[in-house]
Amino acid sequence: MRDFDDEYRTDYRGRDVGTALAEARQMVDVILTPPDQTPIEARREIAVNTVRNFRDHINRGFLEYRKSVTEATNFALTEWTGQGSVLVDALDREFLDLLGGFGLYSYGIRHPRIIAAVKAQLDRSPQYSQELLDPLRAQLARVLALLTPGKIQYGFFANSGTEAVEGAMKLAKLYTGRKGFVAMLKGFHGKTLGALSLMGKKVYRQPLLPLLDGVRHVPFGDADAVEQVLAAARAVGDDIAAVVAEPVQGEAGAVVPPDEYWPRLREVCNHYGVLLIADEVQTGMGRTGEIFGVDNWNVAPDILCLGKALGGGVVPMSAFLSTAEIWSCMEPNPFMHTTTTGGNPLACAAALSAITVLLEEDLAGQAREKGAYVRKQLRGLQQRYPGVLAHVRGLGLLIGMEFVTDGIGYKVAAGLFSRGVLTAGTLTNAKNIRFEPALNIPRELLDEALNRIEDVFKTIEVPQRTASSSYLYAGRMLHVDLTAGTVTTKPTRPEWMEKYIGGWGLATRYFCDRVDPKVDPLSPENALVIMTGPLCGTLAPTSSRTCLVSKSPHTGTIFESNIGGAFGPELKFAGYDGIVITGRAERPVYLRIEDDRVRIEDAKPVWGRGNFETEKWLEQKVGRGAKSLTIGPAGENQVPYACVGSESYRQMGRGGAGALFGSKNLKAVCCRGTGGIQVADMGVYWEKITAAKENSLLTEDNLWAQSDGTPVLVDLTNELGIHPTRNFTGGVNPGRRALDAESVKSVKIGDRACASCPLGCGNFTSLNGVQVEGPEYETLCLGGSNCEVNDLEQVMRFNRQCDDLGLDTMSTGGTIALAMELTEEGVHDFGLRFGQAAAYLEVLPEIAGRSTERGRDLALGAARLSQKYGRPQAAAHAKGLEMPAYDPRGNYGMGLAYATSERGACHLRAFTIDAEDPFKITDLARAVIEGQNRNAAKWSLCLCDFWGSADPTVMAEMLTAGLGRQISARDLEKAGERIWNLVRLFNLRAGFTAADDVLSEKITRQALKSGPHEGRRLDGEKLEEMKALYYHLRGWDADGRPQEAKLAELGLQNL
Amino acid sequence: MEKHLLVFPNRCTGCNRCVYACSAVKEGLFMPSKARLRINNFPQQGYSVPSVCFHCPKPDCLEACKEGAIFKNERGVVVIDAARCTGCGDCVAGCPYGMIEQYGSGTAYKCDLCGGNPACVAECHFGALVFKEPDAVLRRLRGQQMKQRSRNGGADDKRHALAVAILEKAVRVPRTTGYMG
Repeated sequence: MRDFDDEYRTDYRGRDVGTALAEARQMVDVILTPPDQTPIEARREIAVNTVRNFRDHINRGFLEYRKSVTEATNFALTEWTGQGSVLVDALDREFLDLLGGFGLYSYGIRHPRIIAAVKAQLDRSPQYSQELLDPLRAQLARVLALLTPGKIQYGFFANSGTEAVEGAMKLAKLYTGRKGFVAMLKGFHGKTLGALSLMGKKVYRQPLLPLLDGVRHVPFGDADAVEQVLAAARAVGDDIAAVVAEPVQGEAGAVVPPDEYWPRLREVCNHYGVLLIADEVQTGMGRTGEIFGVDNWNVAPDILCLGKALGGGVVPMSAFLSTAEIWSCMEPNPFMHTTTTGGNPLACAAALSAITVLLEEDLAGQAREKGAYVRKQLRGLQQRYPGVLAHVRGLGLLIGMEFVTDGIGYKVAAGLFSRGVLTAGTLTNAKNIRFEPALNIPRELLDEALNRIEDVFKTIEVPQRTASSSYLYAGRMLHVDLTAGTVTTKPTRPEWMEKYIGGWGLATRYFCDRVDPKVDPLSPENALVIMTGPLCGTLAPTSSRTCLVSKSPHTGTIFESNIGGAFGPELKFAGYDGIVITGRAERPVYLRIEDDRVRIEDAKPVWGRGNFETEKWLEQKVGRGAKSLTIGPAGENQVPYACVGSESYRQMGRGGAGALFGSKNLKAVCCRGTGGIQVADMGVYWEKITAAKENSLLTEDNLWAQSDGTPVLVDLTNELGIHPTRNFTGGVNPGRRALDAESVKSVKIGDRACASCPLGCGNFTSLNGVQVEGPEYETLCLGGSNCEVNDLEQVMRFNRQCDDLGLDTMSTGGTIALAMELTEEGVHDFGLRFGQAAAYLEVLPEIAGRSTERGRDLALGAARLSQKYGRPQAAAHAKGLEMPAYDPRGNYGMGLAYATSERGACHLRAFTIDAEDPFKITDLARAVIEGQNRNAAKWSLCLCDFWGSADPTVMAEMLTAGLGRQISARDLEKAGERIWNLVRLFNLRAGFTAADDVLSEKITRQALKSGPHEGRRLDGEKLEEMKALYYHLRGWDADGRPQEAKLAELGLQNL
Repeated sequence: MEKHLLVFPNRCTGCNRCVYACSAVKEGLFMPSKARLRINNFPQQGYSVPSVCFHCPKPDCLEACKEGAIFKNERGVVVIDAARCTGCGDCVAGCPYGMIEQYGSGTAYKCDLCGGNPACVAECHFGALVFKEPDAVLRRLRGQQMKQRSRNGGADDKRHALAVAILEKAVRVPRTTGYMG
């Protein structure tokens, strides 16, 4: 054989008449040889050539699509011969045919009587002259007129089902003089352009738009929806010619409509004077237990389409038929619709003979009885093997099996195939498998097929928990009491899941339920709630973040801190949405989670050790691939800004989560999970998240994260004049070149990503022996510019050391910069000066260990340190949390965001850097509220900040697809507002008031000393003005208390 | 020349999207423990090594299977006929890369390259997984990776052994900027 791959490239002359003739002859010889007399070697060669010819000359896509045909056995299955319900391939392997050619083989393969009639007709006259009258066609039309329901009397014959539908559409348009059609969602009527317009599936339709004008789609089985469309169409004068439906939707998985559906369709069509077209291509000729599908409901359509089985499974044949009244519109010009080959004598002979078989063997009766039997048996299997078969549907022998997941469906299809049972099941659509055998299939074969199906079901592994638990959520929460040393598992509360989504919201709800707002944060009575989001552990991009909610030892407020990496997904795979931890262990412990096995174990060996070593130890102890949340010495010593780390360089940085772990003697939480996360419909979910990824995430808005990561903000903030420099003295750093994106890129040796994130914003850097993932923008600025350490290597050291010790680089940088200022101002000598890297690195272990006088001082954090030394105006903070690296004096919106954030100065609640006018307070107040609500929802879905364009619509679409129930963008916005109000209530009860929604004097009293905003401050009155507007817009009173009406609107009135 | 699934550890970010996609396609749910490929993450070193089935020219798993349930199809893909698999686990022990595992029932499963359109490759946004016909350089890369065979422990241990060997090589030859595989 020639290799076309090479020769096609040359040009048009790639013609080889000799080979064409030789190969054609060869195949004719094969055809002329009786099937069993072709030697096996020759047949093997045919099998191999067939795969090659499909690849090179039909469509290589089929080979990949029909995976079960090409992969599960040594050689591809090549059609050879068959009889009845048994198909034999070229290598003499027998297959039980349950597919029946999608309804083609209703009489079995090669029914002897049909074959005999066609052969005889072949010897008489295979085609007609086109001029003389053709007796067979005329007789067949009469026979069908006698068989069909109602007044149907005339017929037109064509070759394929889609042609019948095309003809029916033309007839309807011609008769009514209107252009519109109502078709059904998920309906299937063929793939030629006219019939395709009726198709109820996006995948075949969308790429070919525009199709016929005036086609509307409504859900199948809902006659009211049809009526609404007809009424609306009439009201706007865009009238409908016909309603088109399959009696039972075949392609959609044998969907049977409610019993009143077809009679109602008839009524509605009569009322509006619209034709009713029944597409019986698949359901006709006995398939559903009656001669025609509509007979099940005694409804006579105006036009009836037939195909598939009409040709007896021998010759292609289709027809559309209608009443004398309607047909009359074709009489003036019978050439309005003609075909050369449709209804040829061979086809008519096949159809006439097939009809005799249909009636004499009572195939409809057989289908009715066998169909009932098969459905009963399948329902038995459904009960015996839970978690495999979700639904059994159908009528007569048009039966659909719907599996719990596509994966199971695919495995069943492949398993059946390897057991010699032919069904249709493909990689992309295996959730539904049709069971559509010959109507005269012998009972023994039917039982044999059912036995083999059961054999396959036996081998299907139903992964842990899929049978029972909900979609997306794991459905369980771990409750750990460290004082009592107990661990209990409870179902995640469904009413909270609905109102608070997951992540931040759900954690806050659990936390508020557990903890008195007045609690001492470091006492055993305080709780930690760790929570994943519903999308966590799936392919939804950036969904792996994990939240912690508690009362902060640093600010005394409720706070939320989240972390990327892979801990969250691992927790979900172990089967938990989150963990509630209370009490205090007597000795250092860690929480060890391995699926259902959860224990509190001794952590003595690593107490006092850094995060890096602890993590390694845990992986050795718990097993490879274990993911952990750990604390370093800073957390153990309850430094109020100690963080919780994971994967070495990722941190729950802000608010002091590490100190809370330390206060509970909890060194770490370590988890390994082997379970899975289920979604309502994998195909739909996959489609939605892929669309979200491509159309929303991987767009210009967010791709900076992939190309540069956060260091790109160094240049941006300097340009805007809001880059905190020298302890928030200036707004630009003249030495920023050493710390910008280019510099970081020059030492980058690899990209890093959190689980499931295609952005991969992490820059793994290496310089003179220091390796770290980072530094991120906040570290570059607060640990670099703000301390005037314009030296990337030293900032990398600072970053790595903070990560190991478990210190928040932001608060640490802010506090050290303050100490530098106090030293240089002569207030107190901490031995720390701006730009002196050696000293600032030296002090880190002292802070984490509280081992020296200055270490203990700095461990107070900026706010308390500045008070201790009588210089409160020197510290930049809000509610005691050191300020992030966006100076609010150059963007008042950030000021309002910091002042109103529940956890103190935080840039992750609202972010107004891109505001058109950074000082226009009316716009900014609105932007801050919108940002806060939206982010509250976003952190509750646990998506990443860097998916900046993740709006509520995109988020709602992903959730809806995963959960299989409708979630709207409005629901998410409301949830965001609810969460924001709930944390506000907590803080109010904890004793915070409007007077705490302020910024430190550094911002309100001192002006910026450099940059475009030099001389500008954000004075207190301006802030008060913004706050008043903000409270008003939030529905809060002048003291910042949510009003009753607002609480009632959000369903928070009883809290 | 057949297409191969090729791995470039230097480009891998450790995001595991390939693993999630694989389990979704093969099992119908997100379940990395049943994925046909895995990512070995070494976050502290900032390095990740994908473990994939090489579809070896002379597969040890195929030799190990006494039932003839493992075969190489006409496109060079090593596949398991689940109907013939007895669940003895010989292939799991036989594979030196830890790329065959068993379900609870014992039935073995492995990568089948998704019939020529691997779902994992489509989800790799950093080019760490590539499905193509290798040129001489890529053949050498593949050859080097395939040399790291291991006989000890379970599938997990073998994957880890290969990953560590690759990691150590990468760390020994210090990665410099621009050296992204």
